[in-house]
Amino acid sequence: MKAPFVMMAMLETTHGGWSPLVWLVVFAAACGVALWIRAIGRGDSRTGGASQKPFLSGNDLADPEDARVAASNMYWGFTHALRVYYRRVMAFHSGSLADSILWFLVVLAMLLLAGRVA
Amino acid sequence: MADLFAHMPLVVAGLLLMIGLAIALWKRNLIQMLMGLTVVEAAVNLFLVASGYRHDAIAPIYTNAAEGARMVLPTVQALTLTAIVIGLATTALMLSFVILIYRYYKTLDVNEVRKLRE
Amino acid sequence: MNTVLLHSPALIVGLPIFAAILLMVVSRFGEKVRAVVFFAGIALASLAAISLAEQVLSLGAVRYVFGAPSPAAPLVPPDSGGIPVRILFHVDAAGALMLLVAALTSVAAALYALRSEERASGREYFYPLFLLLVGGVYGMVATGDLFNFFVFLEITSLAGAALTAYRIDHGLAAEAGLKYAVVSTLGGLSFLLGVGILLARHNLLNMAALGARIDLAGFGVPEAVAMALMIVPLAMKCGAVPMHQWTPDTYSRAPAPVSAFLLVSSQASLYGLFRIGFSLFGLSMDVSTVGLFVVILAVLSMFIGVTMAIPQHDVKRLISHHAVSQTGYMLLGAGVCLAVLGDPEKVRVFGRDALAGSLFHMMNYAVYNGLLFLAAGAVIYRTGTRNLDRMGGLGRTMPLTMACFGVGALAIAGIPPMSGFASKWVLYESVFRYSPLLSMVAMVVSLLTLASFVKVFQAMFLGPQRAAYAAVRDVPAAMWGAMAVLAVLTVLLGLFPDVVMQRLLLPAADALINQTAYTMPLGGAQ
Repeated sequence: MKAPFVMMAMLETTHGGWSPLVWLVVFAAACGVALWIRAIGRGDSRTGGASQKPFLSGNDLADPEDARVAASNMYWGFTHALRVYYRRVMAFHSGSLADSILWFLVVLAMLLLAGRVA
Repeated sequence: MADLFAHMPLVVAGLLLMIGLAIALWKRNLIQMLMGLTVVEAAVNLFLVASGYRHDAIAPIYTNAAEGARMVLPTVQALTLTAIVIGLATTALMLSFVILIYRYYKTLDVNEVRKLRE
Repeated sequence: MNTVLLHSPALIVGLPIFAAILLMVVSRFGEKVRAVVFFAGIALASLAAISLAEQVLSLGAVRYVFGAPSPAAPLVPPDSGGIPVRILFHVDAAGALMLLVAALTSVAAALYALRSEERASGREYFYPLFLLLVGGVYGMVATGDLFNFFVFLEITSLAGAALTAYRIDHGLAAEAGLKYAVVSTLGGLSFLLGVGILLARHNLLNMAALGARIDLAGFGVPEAVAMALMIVPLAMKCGAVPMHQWTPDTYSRAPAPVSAFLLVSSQASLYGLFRIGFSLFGLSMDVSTVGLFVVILAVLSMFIGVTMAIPQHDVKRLISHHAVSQTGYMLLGAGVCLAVLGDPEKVRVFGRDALAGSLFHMMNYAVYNGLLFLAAGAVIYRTGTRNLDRMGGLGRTMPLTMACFGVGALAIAGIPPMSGFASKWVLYESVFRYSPLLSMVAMVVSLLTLASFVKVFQAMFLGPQRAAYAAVRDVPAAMWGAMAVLAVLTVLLGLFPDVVMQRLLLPAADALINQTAYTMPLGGAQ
């Protein structure tokens, strides 16, 4: 039985590779850098001031429980920018059983045609 | 013409298949849709049995069979029996789902039984 | 011990089905007995499956003849006119891979189900149905007979649909069960028609013998029709867009352990697709057209799956859309390999890697997506809501669940060193050689997956604590243990990708690519 770290050897693919061992080394180095950056920060920052209060788009929050972006709103910008696409793809997911059967038959017909043409 | 008669079971199976799929696609009532599926199933079973048919052949039983007699293929008959049993089980299961859906949704319209979508 | 090993192909299917029947009989002796029989059935079948897989990987493919005086009887009886009349189980390296996946996830899901379904009624039928589902999946993977495959396909569909609808959930689960049952039935009938056409044409049901016969007799119109009739339903059963409408409904409404194992049953359909594409038809058909067709389905699945997941706020539905998207990766690798199958040089340079990556992703996906379903189920178990907008701050009270979910989320998003990264890496690299564009699509989809899981993780576990959930505790040990098993597997598969690749995946990919290795022992059946 080889030692575990030897078994983390390079995963050789024909054009390259990937080794978790290398990743672990890089990760450890990155952690070191992060800790170093943290260490050179100022140690005299105040606690308990306004800088620690929850902040959400400048609104005053009475209840700290509300200090969050609801999951549905999180990617609003993304879905809004792609709203034309989303309108169509949502309409496609009609949830109707007849549509599922129809699409099955359509794909079947396409593969049949592809088989005949080729 | 004689050719058509020889292939009559296959023609009937094809027709049944089309009728069943049409019912499953265009009927809006869930129970009628399931009836369409049952017709498709009958078509497939008919095709299976018909494919084992040999002209002028006897039942595949060795007792009392003449020397060198042609026999129909028994495999497909066994397959069809199995397929019928499986079809019975699936139909029963689907109908019980339909009963449950009707109890809660008060409708069997395929365009309304789609609370799950998108 | 040797007898057990000899009969392990029969045991993997026989044990769960026998335990299911036994459960019906003993269920009146109380919950303890029921739980023991259920778990013993799953665990023993897993042991048999693992030992069978080990045997296959070290000694080569296993063929088990049913109904013969001995399982090692000649595959083609001398007086049968050259037709292998008996039903064979035929497990090679690709089957062994699937057996391992099913064995590991079924134990985790069963362990979880013991606790998560504890408060629910009707367990006397829940457990037997789960056992039937597991037995059906083993059967689909092990069988070498087309009609037998159809029977196991229907067993898994029936048990899966019944389990999906088990908690009626104001009719919603019944709706999901009906959708699953209808598409499965239609797909099953299509598959049966394809089998019927091949049987009528060649008088054979054995996949290996049929593969050899088609190779010899040529690929005519009936074979083309049968190929379409068999491949499309299997693509539907594994959730390829645009036939994926049932997937989010079924996965999201089924109880969590059932969702986790339904993934594996979808993988078994995908395995069936590979088997039929590579071993049954293989080079006899026009591989470049069929491969391109699979690649198109794959790209659609990856992209539409992930974009549909982004706006979701039901956590299980979101994960289900990701399941569709991840299936796209597996179809992509396999489709690329199928498309270049006619060119041995291309197969050597990247086709083999693409298929191995696809199989690797299949294995990883079954583990981490199952883990995600179980962890989401754990949160729903404690909070009683599946709406992400209503969750929050649960990391403080459910740290173990958070850790497990985190591992799964990192893996599905392809962050090293989790397993998802290793398999996606292999796929990117090999698919890039076929078409760089496809590789880029796969990477973009991976980024969107990460974005989506950042959202889920934040909404569930981070942020200020909610008063309503201040008192929730972490889930019971059995549920947490099941998640931990899968989480550890996810990490291990990511840390030792080379071992898995050499020992398991490349042999499996070769077993699929090399059609004659599958058909050879029965190729003399002309």
